Amino acid sequence: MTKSGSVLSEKAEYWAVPAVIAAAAVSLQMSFRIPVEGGEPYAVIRAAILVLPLAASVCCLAAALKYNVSRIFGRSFLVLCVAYAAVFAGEAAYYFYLDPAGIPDHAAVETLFLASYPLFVLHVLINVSYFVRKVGGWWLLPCTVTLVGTVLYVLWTGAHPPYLDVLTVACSSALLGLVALAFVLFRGTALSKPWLLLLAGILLGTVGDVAYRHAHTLGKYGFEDPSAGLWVASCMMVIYALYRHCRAF
Amino acid sequence: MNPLDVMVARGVRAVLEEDLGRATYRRIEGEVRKTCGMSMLEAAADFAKMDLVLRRFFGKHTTGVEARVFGRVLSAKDAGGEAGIVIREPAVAGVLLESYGNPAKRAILDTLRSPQTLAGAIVTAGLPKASTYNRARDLLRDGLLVTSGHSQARDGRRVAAYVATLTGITFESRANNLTVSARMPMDIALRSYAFSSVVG
Repeated sequence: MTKSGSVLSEKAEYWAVPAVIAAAAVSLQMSFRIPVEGGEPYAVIRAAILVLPLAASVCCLAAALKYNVSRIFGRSFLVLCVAYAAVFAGEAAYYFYLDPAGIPDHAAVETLFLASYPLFVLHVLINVSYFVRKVGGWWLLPCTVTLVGTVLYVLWTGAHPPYLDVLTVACSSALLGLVALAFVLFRGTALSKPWLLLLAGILLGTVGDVAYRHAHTLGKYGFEDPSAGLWVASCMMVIYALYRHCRAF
Repeated sequence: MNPLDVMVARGVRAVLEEDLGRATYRRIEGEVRKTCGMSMLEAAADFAKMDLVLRRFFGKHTTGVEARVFGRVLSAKDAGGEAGIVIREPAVAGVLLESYGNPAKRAILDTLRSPQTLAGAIVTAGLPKASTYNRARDLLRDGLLVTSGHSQARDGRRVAAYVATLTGITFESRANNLTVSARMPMDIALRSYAFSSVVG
């Protein structure tokens, strides 16, 4: 293939793959409408929510091994692998032991989801602190203020399930802000496109989290809610970001 | 090529691989070969070429990446008109230990503390003629010798004079880590990418 041809196909790939991911997420989201004789209508989307964080974790591990568990890329992908493993463990607990739309909430399982956020943040920090020579503390300030404020609020009001929802939404939003800043810092490098895809993945996940927490707080959550499709799309986008990262180097 | 950059080239190669992984290292190596037609070691020794390739990958953050890489290989400071350097990277420290631990190479380096031709050094210090040229070539390749002007031979030919790059070299081994401390002329250090990068 000629050079211009390969550049064209790469550009087409950047549009085609997210389009395929969107189509797959919508299809999975809508799968409950397909009547299944004697089967659970939400089985497909429930399985997707369970399996995709595991797939993302495995892909992160593969990327870490591809980089020989090197000090920067290897370790940061290993951290991301553990973060997705924590998400998978949380989803597995809901899938196998708990009523997924259940009320009241399960603080122990929610802790698994909460534990993944510091790991996501660590992944960003490992990369940024290596490549960006002078990182002023200012760029961590909005996230730190948001998180500290939310934690204080939760401690003040008591850690009842609705406040765990608040904390999760705050962590998710802070992470989104951090990844957006990292993307800005990586613009103009070989890593800009993988970070843009990671940003898109985290954005989808954050919107999904906020939608879920909102519905959950009101006691109206069900698998027909868009949050399920957004989580699925988020994981697939992160997997594609990992693939592009490995291709960039 | 600057002798300090030549000296630390092996370390740059090792640190890049350690930090970013073998796959990234091979990608950069391929780009170096395609763009400059030289090996990683040669490009790291002639660092302007390496810098050119790294900029394609890391853009505006290249200076930061280079500072981190060089910072893991050596530290440097102004030591009273000379440049004081401390090398911690095992690949670079190993080459220095191998050269200074070899009695024949050590004799050449000791003789060339002040600039003189190899022929002159052979006569002055009674070095073996056949092997001295080969060993001097190795020392030049490793950045431990540097050309320092020319002098006129008896038959009228211009002959290069050489001088040892490092002076006051000490080796310190602590907990399986070898650290090499030395001094070098400031004019050589100031033309080095590695020195400029760590001194800032």
